[in-house]
Amino acid sequence: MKKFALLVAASSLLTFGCAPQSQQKPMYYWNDYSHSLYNLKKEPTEETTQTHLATLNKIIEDSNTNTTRVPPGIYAELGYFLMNKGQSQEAVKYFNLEKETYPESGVLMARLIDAASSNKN
Amino acid sequence: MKSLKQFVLMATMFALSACGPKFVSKQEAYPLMYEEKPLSLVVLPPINQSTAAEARDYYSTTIAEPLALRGYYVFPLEVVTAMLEHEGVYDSESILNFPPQKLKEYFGADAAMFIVISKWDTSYYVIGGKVKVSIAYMVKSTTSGETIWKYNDTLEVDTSGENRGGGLAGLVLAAVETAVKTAMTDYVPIAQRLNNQVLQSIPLGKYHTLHGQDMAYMVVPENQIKPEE
Repeated sequence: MKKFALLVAASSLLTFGCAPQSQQKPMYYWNDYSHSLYNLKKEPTEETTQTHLATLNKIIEDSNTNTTRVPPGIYAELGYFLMNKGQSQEAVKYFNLEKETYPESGVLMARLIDAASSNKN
Repeated sequence: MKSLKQFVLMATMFALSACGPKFVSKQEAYPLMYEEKPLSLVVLPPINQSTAAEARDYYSTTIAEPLALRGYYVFPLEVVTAMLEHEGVYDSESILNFPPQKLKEYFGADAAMFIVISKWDTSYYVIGGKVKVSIAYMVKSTTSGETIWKYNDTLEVDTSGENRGGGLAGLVLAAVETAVKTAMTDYVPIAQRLNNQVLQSIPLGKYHTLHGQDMAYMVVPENQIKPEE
């Protein structure tokens, strides 16, 4: 009985969920994000790292082509990867892009820009 | 004719409202969310209380996307997790006890999402198998520290193989097949389905076109807002 109730709840939630999503253009292009990050976590190798980085770049590319906002956190995640690889200048560029796209990320981005800049020296 | 139509309509509505659990509106369920209108969410590393050690890492790949699609700015999870670890915040206790107000200072987040994975497991029965994922979600204000949204739910997927029929050999074959299929069943799609189901109830954030217009949506099962026993 409880299961049935849950089922009814779930299906009615699903029906409700359809309404706001019927827009012509997707809100964001997430590409293969969840999948490539999962593979990276499951097996952190050079190959899975490169695949995930390629996914992040593809998300940015697709978003720009379709003039939608790059999803939250994508520029920052890419910047963070680059920072850890020692590419501080590139990293700062992406942290700034995140901040321009989402001003509410400012506090964290300032922290990351500081970290990347002190890396250089 | 018109009154007959009206009658049928009313009867249907009555029938619909009479069955299943009661739903309340988002406004009624989560008034503080509408008061505070958090724009940015920091998702803390999930707390894993399940028996699967890898659940935390795998689950954390699934939550940013659906939250962003509900209109929130979601801080980069990978970066946040690494930074918190650097500060010594990585075990369940230190995460649960981390003062939400500090997350405002540290990340600039309006609110913080805490996630507890209580089940991420597989069970077998004679010729079948089940994969079960249970998660509790909680959003706390980084201003007041209060819980402004919460939801917990379970999703169970049956992984039984097709029935082969044909005596004991068929039965054994089916059991083996199920075991293999269940072991290989990916938890991630199940977690994604669960996220989507649960996040129907979260008030839509600033980047969603329906931001501020969803208060009346009757999508929150009443049992979700009852105080915990």
